Amino acid sequence: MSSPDVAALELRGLKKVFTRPAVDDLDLTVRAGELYALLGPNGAGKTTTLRMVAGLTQPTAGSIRVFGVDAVADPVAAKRMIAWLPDEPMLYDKLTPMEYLEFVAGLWGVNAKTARKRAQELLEWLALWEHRGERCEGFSRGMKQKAALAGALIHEPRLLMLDEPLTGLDAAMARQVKNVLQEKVRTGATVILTTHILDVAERMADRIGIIQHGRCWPKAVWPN
Amino acid sequence: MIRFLKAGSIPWLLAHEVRLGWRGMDGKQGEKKEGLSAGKAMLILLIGLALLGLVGGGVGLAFLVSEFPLTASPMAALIATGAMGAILTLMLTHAINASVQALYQRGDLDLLMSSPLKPRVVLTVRLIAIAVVAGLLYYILITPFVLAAWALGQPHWLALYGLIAGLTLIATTLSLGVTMGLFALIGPRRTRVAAQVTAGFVGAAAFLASQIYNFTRPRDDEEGASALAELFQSWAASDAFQDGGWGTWVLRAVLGEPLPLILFLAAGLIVFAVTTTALARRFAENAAAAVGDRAGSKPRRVADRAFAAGLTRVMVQKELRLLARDPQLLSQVLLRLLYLLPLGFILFRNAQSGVGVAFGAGAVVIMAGQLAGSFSWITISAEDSPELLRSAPVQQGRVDRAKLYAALIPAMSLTAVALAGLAVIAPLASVVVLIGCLAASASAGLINIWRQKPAQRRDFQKSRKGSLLVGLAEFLVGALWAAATGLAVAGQIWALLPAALAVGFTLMLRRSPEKIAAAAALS
Repeated sequence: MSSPDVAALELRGLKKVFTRPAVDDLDLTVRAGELYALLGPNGAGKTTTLRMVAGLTQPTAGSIRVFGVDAVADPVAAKRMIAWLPDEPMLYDKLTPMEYLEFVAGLWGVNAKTARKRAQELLEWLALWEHRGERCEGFSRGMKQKAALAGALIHEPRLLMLDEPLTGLDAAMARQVKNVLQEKVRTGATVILTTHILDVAERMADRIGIIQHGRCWPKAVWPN
Repeated sequence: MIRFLKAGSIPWLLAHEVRLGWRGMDGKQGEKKEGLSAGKAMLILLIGLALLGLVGGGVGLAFLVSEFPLTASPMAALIATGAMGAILTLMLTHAINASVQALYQRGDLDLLMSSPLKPRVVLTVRLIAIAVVAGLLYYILITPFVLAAWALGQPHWLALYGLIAGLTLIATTLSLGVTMGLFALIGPRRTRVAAQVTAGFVGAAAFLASQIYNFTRPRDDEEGASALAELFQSWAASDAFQDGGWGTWVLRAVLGEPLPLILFLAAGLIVFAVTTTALARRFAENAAAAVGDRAGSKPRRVADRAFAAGLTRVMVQKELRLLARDPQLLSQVLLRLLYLLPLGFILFRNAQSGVGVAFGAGAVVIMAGQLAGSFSWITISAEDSPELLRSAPVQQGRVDRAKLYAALIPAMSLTAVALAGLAVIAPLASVVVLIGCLAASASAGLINIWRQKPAQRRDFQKSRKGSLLVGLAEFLVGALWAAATGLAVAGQIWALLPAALAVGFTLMLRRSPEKIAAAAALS
C-alpha cells in the first residue's frame, strides 16, 4: 500500500526512440488527486508518454512509477491501478455495453457481483442504460466514447489517463465527459488527459504540463 | 500519367485506382523493412519453384500440342466447353466477393459518390478492376504455354487471351447481377453474408464437380465403365457437339476461327456495357444503402443477468459471442470444410475396407486441425481490441490460453459430428482419431499462439497470405498428424514417425514469451 503523499505518477528521464526520439528525457510528476493536462501540439510525444505508462510501449530508458510502483519492473501491479482511454475507443462492435463491461471487469478481476452493480450505475450515469441491449456497432462516436469511459471506470482506477477525450464530441457530450472526470477527481482519483487545445486544458485542469519534441518545457507548468 | 487525362473521365479514375493499387502492393509507408529472414527466403524459393514449374509445364504442354495438334472432334468440343465453364465458375467466385467489396467497403467510395462524378464512371472503373483481378491468375497461368505454342508455330492459341477476356467480362457482369439481385431481394444487411456464402458455394461446387469422377467410378471390386464417362459419351454424341452445333463454338475459337472469338468477345463487351449503363444508378443507391448496414443490430430484449466471473470464463464467453455474431466469418470457416467432402464421401463409400477407414481417419484429423487453426487465428491474431488486453493487469500467456480454449470449443464441436459418424462405422478407430484430432488441434492452436501477428477479422480469407509460412507449417503439421492417425488406425507402428515429426515441426515454431509479446505489440 502506498503512502498518501506519494505521487500518482512519477516519470524520470523517460525516453522512447522510434526512428527519432518521440519522448526525450522527460521528467514529470503528477500529484495524487489532481486533474493534470498534458498540453502540446500534434506529434509532441503526449500519447507515447501515456502509452508507456499504460504498458503498451516499452520505454527506451528512464523510470515510471505509479503510486510508487515501478511500472517497468512490475507492469501487472501498475496496470491494476490504471485505466487507459485512447482517442479511438477500445470497444468490440459486436458486444453490447453490458457485455463489454462484463468483459473488462473480468480482465481487471473485479468481483462479478460488484461489477454488475457498478456497470448499471455507470451506464445510468452516462445515459447509456437505455442502450444496454444494443451492440456498440450502431453507436455514435460520443456514445462509443462514453461506453469506453464506463469500461475504464468499472474497476475504479486510481489513475485515469485519457488521450484527447473530447475530440469529436458535441458540446453536450463533452460537458458530460468533463463532469464525469471532475467527479472522479472529487472522489479521490487522479486524472491525466492529453490535449492540444489550451482552452480545454485551462478550463478543466488543476495543473498543465506543456510538452514539445518529447520534453516538458522547463517551468512551463501552469498555473506556476 | 494521370495529369494528362481528362479529370472525371473513366481513364482518369482508372489511372487513379491503378496508382492506389500499385502503392498498396508496396506496403505501408514507414513500415519497418526487415532483412531477408529464413522464412522469407523459403517463401521466395517456393514462389521461384512454382514459377519454374509453371513455365516448364507451359513449355512442355506447348511441345506436346505442336507434336499432337488439337483437332476438332465432339469430345474435344465437350472438354473445351467444360473447361471454359469451370474457369467461368471459378472467376465468378472471385468476382462475387470483389463486387461485394465494391459495394460495402467504403475506402474512397464515399468521396467518389459525393463528388459530381457520374455513377456510371465509378461503376465502370470498379467493374474493370474486378475483371482485371478475376482474370489475372488465368493470364499468368496460360502465358508460358501460349507464347511457347506461338513460337512453335501454333499462333491460334493466342485466341485464349481473347476467350479469357470475354469470360472475365461475363463473370464480372454476372457477379454484379448476383450481388445487386440479392440486395433487392434480402436487403443490405443480409446481402454481404449471402453473397459471400454464394461465392463460396459456387467455388466449392466447381471443386466438387471436379471430383465427380471419384464419386461415380466403380469401386475396386466392381466392373464396368464409369457412369460419368458414359454420360460424357452420350453428350458428345448429341447434336450440340457435332459440326456447327453451339457446343463447338469454344473449341472453334481456340482453334483460331475469328468469328466465334469475335462473337465471344463482343458478347462480353455488350453485356458489360449494358450492365454498367443500366445498373449505375442502382449501384449508387445500393452503395448508399450499404452504409446503413453498419448502423448496428436491432436492440435486443435485455436479460439483466449476473456477470460471469474469472478471466477464462469471460474471455471464452466474449470470443464465442463475437463468433456467433459474425455469420460472414463463420461461413468462411465452414466453407473451407466443403473441400474435405470428397474425402468423407470416399470414406463412407469404402467403409468396409481398412484403407478407406484409414484415409477417412486422416481426413477427420485434417478437418480438426484446419478448424482449430482457423478459430485460433480468429481469436488470437484477429483480436478487435488488442490494446485493451495489453493494458489489462494479466499476463499474455493467460489471455492466450483462454483464447485457445475459446477456439477449441467450436472446432471440437464441429469435429465431434464427423467423429460420431466414424464411431458408427469403426468404433475403435474413432478413439484413435479422437486422439489424433486433439493432437492436431493443439498443434494448430500452439502455432497460432507462438506465431501470432495482429490482423483484422475481415482479413480471414487473406490470413494465410499474410503469413504464408505459418499457413504452410500449420498444413504440414496437420497432414503429419493425419498420416500418423491413419497409420495408427491401420495398426502400423510407423505411425510414430509422422507423429514425432509433427511434434518436432510444432516445437520448431516455438517462440519465447518476450518474442510473442513483441510480435503481438502494435508499436
